Amino acid sequence: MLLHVTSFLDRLLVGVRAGSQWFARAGGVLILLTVVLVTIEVASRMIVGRSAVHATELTGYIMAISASWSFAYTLMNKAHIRIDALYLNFPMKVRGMLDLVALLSLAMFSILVVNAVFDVLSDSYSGGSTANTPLSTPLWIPQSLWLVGFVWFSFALGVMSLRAFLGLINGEADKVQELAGTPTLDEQIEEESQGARS
Amino acid sequence: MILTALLILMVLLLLSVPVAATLIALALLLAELFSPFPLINAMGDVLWSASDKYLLIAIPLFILLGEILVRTGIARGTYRSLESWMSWLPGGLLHANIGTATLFSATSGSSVATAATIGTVALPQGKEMGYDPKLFTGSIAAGGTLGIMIPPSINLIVYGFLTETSIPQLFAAGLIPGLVLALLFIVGTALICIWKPALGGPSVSHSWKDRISGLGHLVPVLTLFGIVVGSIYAGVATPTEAASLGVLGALVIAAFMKKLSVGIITEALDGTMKTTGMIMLIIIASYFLNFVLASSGVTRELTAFLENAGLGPYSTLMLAILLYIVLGFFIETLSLMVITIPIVAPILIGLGFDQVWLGILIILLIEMALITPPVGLNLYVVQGVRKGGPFSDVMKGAMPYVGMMFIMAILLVLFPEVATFLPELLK
Amino acid sequence: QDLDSTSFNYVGSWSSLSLYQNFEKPFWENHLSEASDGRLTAEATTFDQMGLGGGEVYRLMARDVIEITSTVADYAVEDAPELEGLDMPMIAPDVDTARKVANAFRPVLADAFRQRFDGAQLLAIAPYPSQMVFCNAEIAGLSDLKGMKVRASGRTTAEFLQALGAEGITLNFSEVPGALQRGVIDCAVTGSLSGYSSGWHEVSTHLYPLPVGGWDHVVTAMNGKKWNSLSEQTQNWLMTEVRENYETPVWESAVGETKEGIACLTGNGDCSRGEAGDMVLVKATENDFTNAARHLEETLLPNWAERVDQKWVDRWNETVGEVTGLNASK
Ligand code: NA
Ligand code: NA
Repeated sequence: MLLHVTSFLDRLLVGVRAGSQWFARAGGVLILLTVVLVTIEVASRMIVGRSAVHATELTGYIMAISASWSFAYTLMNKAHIRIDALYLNFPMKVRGMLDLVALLSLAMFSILVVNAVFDVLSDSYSGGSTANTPLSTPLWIPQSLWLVGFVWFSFALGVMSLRAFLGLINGEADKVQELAGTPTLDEQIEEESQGARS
Repeated sequence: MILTALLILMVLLLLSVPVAATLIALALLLAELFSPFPLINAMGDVLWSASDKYLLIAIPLFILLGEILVRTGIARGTYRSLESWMSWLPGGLLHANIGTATLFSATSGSSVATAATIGTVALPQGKEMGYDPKLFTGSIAAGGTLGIMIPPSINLIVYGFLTETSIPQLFAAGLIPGLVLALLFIVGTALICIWKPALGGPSVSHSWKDRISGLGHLVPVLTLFGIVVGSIYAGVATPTEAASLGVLGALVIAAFMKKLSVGIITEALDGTMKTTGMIMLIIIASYFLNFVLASSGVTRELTAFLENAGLGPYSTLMLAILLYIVLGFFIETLSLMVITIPIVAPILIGLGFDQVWLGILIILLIEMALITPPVGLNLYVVQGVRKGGPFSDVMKGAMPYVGMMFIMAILLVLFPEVATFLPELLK
Repeated sequence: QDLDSTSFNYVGSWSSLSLYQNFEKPFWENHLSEASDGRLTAEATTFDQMGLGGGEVYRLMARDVIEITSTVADYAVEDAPELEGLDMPMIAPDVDTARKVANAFRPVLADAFRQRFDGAQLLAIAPYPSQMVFCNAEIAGLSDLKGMKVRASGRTTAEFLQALGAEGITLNFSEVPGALQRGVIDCAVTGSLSGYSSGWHEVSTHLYPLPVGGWDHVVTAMNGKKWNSLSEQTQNWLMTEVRENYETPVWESAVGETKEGIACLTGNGDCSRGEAGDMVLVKATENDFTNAARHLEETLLPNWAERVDQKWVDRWNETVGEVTGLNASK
């Protein structure tokens, strides 16, 4: 039974990983879009003396959205910063538990944010809030795209936490390390195995 | 209350709870303990305000600019060329790190972006040549901080905005102190490596032929400098817009050198998003922490502390410097600026200090905060690029540079002209 | 008197500006407790010190996070377009008219706050110095703005500039001085004194001294639950104190500050705040006022009327319309 669940989670994780990559890339494309918008803005200001695209306002939204779309990808790359000075001195089992705590703490953060952002979004939508700018952008549009990033981040964290938890009770310490350990350890393991080979 | 906060922070960080989650957990705990109001109800609004920020876009843009330079080999070329000019100094490649950082700082307004760029090109070299990782990573983290002192600089824009100081004046004021600091880094590094050669690497002498022929590799970066800074001073673009033009410029230069492909752009975007995710999660978390601190009275305590101390101008200045150093250990730099500048700047300006000069001094202290543990974004970025080895290496390696920055702070206080000379000239 | 004994948390407007330093902070932190013999106290901070943008504070007040708050009403029109009725470009050329407009609109605004922000109580309406036009280009009147690149914040100001034929440029406020100096933009709008303290006179040459950007009123309101928890006597006492010792002094100083701002920027008159600039003061003509009124009636008021329910338009006509002689309709 447990085996079914873990192998299902492993397959799911492959999908989550791919999804996170695509979210990040989409966010990256938005950053490139900023470059295009600003270039048009600067050029139109020089040539015809007017703001063509209101880059300032749109850029703010792009910043919010592309950031939230990148969080899951950063997670998959183990790049959310953890201070591992003490961690590295603990036995494998304790480290696994700390890894799970790390995942759960991020999950708590992300789920709280989803909850809070959902409130903001529903207020913006029901109150018909529009930006106080010439564009009068209805705020629910950028805010819901922003929310999507946090929802995906929470989902990714949920799947990872569950897998790490099952790994811990199954005694798959290597698996937990591979999934959620700090990158320092990966490097050390890689070097040791290289050393063993050569 | 401040002590409670620090204690909780230390414990969570040492348990390797992710920094962003630590900051949020701390914020929630402080809100629960010290505020009668349901501050958590403000989370969505505060995070949206923190995220929907036009000025922040310069961070991913400058990181992307760096990524493009790295992936197309332009950054490596620059590094090699500077290495041929500088690595005869005691410490070898360490000087190339600082030199390249100084040069890139002139095209980048963000310290983390600068550190990430230098780190990506320099770290493999250092590893290959067997450098002791401590000073090597430390010099990259510290060199990267020059990104916000040498114009363009996002943090100087933020200071200008918070204190109503002319941004062109601030940019002019940052240039000489930035170069002096770079010089201090070089001299300091050389002295350390004379004292303990093992911390550096071999001094390598290159022939003049090598040096001269390598100068061609500086052309792309100097062109970019022309685009970014030129567009600002020619009245074409604002500093934030210049970041976008810089990315466009890097793409065009790379295409011109036939080094651009879809694969490279994709890699550059992936790299950018990974670092952006890491930085932004910490930044938005620390905005919420800042909100809680301000709501529950820490800000007020600080103001009262500074105002009621009843000290003369220089003693108050010393107190403010101390405050930045201590808070700089724990608070991420953009939020550190937002929380302290509205309090500290009016008091010090009221005591007669020049506000352009003060901006430069504060930026220097912010640079220091970027490389002091436990919360130091540049340390994290270098560790992130490095993908291995204990974090404590970077931490220890950055320490001597903190000392050099402190010397710089003393120089700035003793000789304010270092900062005020150029803006006065421009008036 | 028999006042309740309670304390408030107060979130004020921009910490660097005179309104907060000289009026909000002294009133809430000192005066309130002195006048009430320590029964009512408040602790003050500002939205910028909290890392907020200023537009969200009323919403946070409605969510019980903040008890009393002041912000520029124009920042919050995202949530409540009714607030725009308080202040339109050039609708009140001088402080006296602006005050008449604000007083006329007060009951309407109070209802808008109650409805939009969960029963919030309106406490005060105070002006920033008149929002004038700074140009780094020669202008002789309002009509010369035609074709110029002008940076303005806020929807109504942007609409007004557009009606004048100016090109509205959207730029971050912090980047304005540099942009003016290097000709990225020709003109920008801000308050007279804040323009002076930010050194805008060093990067621009001509000053058009009428409120093209309106007055940027800073509106103070209290959380509805908190308000209802106070006794009627305390409510009345507080309203009187706020009016007499905060609102009225701000309005009175606005006359002087607007004047001194102009003196400091142009060098005509006394400037006690430092070295005066030498900007050219542009004289407003009768024509400017007729044109402004025409744009308001033809463009701005109809646009605003589209954003709010008819009942707010009617109430605007009964109040501000009466004072100014303008008429809003969809
Ligand atoms: Na820079
Ligand atoms: Na630090």
